[in-house]
Amino acid sequence: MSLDGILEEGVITTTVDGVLNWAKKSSIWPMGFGLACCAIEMMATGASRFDMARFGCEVFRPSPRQCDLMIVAGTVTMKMAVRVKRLYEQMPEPKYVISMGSCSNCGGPYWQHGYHVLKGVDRIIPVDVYVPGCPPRPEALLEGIFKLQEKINQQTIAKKLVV
Amino acid sequence: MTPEEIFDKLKEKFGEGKILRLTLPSQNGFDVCDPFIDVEPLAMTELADFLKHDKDLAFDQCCCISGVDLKDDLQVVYHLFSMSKLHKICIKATAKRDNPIVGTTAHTWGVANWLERETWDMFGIKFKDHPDHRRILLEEDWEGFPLRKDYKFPRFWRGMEVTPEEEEGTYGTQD
Repeated sequence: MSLDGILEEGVITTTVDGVLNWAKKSSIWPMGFGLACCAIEMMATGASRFDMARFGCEVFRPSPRQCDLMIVAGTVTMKMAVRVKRLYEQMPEPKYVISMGSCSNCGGPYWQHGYHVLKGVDRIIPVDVYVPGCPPRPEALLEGIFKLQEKINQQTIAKKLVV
Repeated sequence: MTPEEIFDKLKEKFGEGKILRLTLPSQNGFDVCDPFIDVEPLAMTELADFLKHDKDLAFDQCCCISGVDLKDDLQVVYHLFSMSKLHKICIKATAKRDNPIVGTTAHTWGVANWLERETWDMFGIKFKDHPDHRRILLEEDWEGFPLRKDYKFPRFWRGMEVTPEEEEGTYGTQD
């Protein structure tokens, strides 16, 4: 359906889903917290060389209440798992989770003999995108963010997409 | 001071009942091992005080406190260094496994407070008269002491899976 010629110049028509998803995916604000060495790569991703700001998600917030995205960057110990879950619950909807690195994907090198490590952060909170690597390079984290943006773009206001 | 001189000085002060023996690297077959002195565990508090404040010994730095599981016994190892005299010694206190109690050194060296808490956390060795005897890394409701040889991994902790079902029995320290 087109309204070309009816509206004056400079007016764009779109769908509600389209404009909402565009707004959400273009300004993903991550939470500024890191758990282990993956956090160093996350910092590099945010800094000038890799520059997450190019994709609208450089605004690391110090409070979960201002965040859209939780990047679980590092080893989730049992003690921290309790806090990670609480932080996730404190984030307002819509909220997304990227699990960054082997440790938070599945326990990584702590799979055996790691009594203190949660074997995957998806055991306590829902994860949208998994980024493999130990630790993943900044390019890999950026790719994870692109995947998340693709995923956000498929959402509708009728129902949150479950993939 | 040489390890022999330190040993003799301690034995003179505390007697053979508390200062058990001196082991030199050549005696136990290891070339790289530090000389160490075995002591009575409950004498550690007064011993630490003497080691630090005696003007010839002057062990003003406690470098490290470690725990060791010797199967029948549990051992606490202190690595001490003197900044002013530039000599060092290793002290070992061995306690019985069924009721391991060692005298605290936290009142002598500030760093020992946390190091002893970590030794309690990992090995379950109690420190008599410790000012703040809590776990340091694990939560208070954690069961067992992870670095003991006979430690069994818990299946769940606060509803979270510690040991995945398919891995049960394969976890833990094996001989």
